[in-house]
Amino acid sequence: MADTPSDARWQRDDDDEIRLTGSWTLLLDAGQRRRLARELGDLDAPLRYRWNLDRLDALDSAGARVLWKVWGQRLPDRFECQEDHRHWFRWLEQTRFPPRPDRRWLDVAFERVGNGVLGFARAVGGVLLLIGQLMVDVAACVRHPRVIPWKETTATIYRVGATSMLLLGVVGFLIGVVMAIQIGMALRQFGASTMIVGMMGLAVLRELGPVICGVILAGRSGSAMTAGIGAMHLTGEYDALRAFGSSPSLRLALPRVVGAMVTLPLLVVWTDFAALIGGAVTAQMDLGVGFKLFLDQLPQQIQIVNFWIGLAKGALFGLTIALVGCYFGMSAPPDTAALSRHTTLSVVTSLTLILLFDASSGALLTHVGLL
Amino acid sequence: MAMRVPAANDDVVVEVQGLHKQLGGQMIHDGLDLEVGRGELVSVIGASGAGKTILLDQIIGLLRPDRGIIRVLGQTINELEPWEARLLRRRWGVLFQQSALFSAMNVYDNLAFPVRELRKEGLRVDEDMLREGIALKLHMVGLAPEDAWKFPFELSGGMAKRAALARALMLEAELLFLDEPTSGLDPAAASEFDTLLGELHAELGFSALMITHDIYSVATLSDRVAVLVDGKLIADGALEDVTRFEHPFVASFFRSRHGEERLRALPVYGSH
Repeated sequence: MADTPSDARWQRDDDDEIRLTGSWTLLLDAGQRRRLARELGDLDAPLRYRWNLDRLDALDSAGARVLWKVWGQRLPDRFECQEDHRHWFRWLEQTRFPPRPDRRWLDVAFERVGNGVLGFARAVGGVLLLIGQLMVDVAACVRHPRVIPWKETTATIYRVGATSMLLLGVVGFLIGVVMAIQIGMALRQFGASTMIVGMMGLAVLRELGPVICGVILAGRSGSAMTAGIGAMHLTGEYDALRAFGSSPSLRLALPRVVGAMVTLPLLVVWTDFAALIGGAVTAQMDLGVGFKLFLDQLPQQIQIVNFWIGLAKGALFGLTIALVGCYFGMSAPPDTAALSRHTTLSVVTSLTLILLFDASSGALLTHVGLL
Repeated sequence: MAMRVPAANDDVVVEVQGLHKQLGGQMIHDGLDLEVGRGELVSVIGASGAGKTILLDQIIGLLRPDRGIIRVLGQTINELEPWEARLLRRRWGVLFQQSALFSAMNVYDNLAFPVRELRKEGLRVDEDMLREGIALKLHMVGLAPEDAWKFPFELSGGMAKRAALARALMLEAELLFLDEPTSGLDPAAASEFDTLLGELHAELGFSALMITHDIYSVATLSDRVAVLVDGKLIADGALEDVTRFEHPFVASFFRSRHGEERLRALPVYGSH
């Protein structure tokens, strides 16, 4: 046992016989194991002795392996042991060691880099394929409206939308407050406090609302989509779905993508509202720009098109989050480490894409002079 | 065979007395008593949902009983300090129903896991030693050395069970808990696995508590059979005696056409 030191002993009789006594249970007793292996290993030509294991109280695999090594992987010619212990040596005789896959560091390095590149290409290809498959699914839904996954879609709208509202409301409000304080300080120096309405409005409606929504939803819902679909591989549900002839993309991906595309713009409206309220409240208390003035000035200083751009971005971000989330979930191998890796990848990828899309759309729309 | 020198009075390795357990307002165990003697292999049979796995979970300390005493290897499970429980857990092995191999590790690392855990407690096991141990255990359960590098999802059901058994035996368990060892295996693989368990039981001499509803496992492996119905063991004894016990469940389990045919086909039946 681990807790009591084993009393394994050996002795040499008449320079001919080696007698083992005590219990040779050495698995958990590294000190004893090394001592015995060293002592016996110092024997000169160990196989010329008669090995007597008859008096052993107990023998475990580690004890047997110590002896086996001393004997040079074979039984001595003169050897006695109890029937109960013989199986260890029979097994050891037949055991082959698992060959370690032999790999040089250069191979490993190449493999890493290659896998990275391939993984990236696979992800891009996979997302494109998924988009194609979703178009096919949409066509199927148009032709046979019976197959439209209403329940899953509405469930997504509820999970992504309704349950995020408190969080987005609080975050939006606080960001509105902070922005108003910071911008207000600068504007007050120029005596242009009422300009806050236009600056806040533009920043919130066009950039901050959609980006806050996208970032929070990528972390909150994108990860949930990947983990939820990925776990279905572990439990075999994914295969069950396919075995029933149901298309995973139609039943899993389409409702999430549609749900997210519907919900995100609505959440953008909600976040815009919360942020502007935060800004207006702060403007009144901090800058003396009245609440009513703020609301009156808003439509005059801001073109309504900025609001629509924000909504369109919301839909684009929703599409991105759901597509990426579903892709990484559907492509996850059925093991726990891969699932957590895919969940991380999913969130990181959608965040990167959201910021990338936001930056390029900003540059495009402003510099090309479209709007 | 004594793998380890038994202390004077531990002829009983598992002792359950007056176990009561309620889950979700439903009485699962209602005064259950069970004993497993050293070196014995005891089967617990019962209908699906009779609380067999819950019984096992309580014995190995994953669930707390509402009332009653559970002693394993002479120690009372629910009165142990965490470090005492750790020491005790090293002395038993558990084979889970779904194999429960760590899916993110290959077979080699799965088998190495219990040993590497010991390192964290300061017990030194060098890598060579570990590798030899793993090779030996793989051979014992009838897996090829090359299987060491496979991942659980690349294994067939039978191979996964074997790997899980090897993992349970890594620390030379003196007591094995087997939860439905043959569930999910085809009849051929199941009977091979039964044979393997029987051989290892004979060679290593571990005690075992097996939860099962495979009549073939019951008949080929068990020294004793206990029948769990309505939260109690209604019968407990040699297979022969239990099959004659008058109770609807026993009748349906052993004396269904299916069951009788299979029992008759067994050479071991009647030799108890």
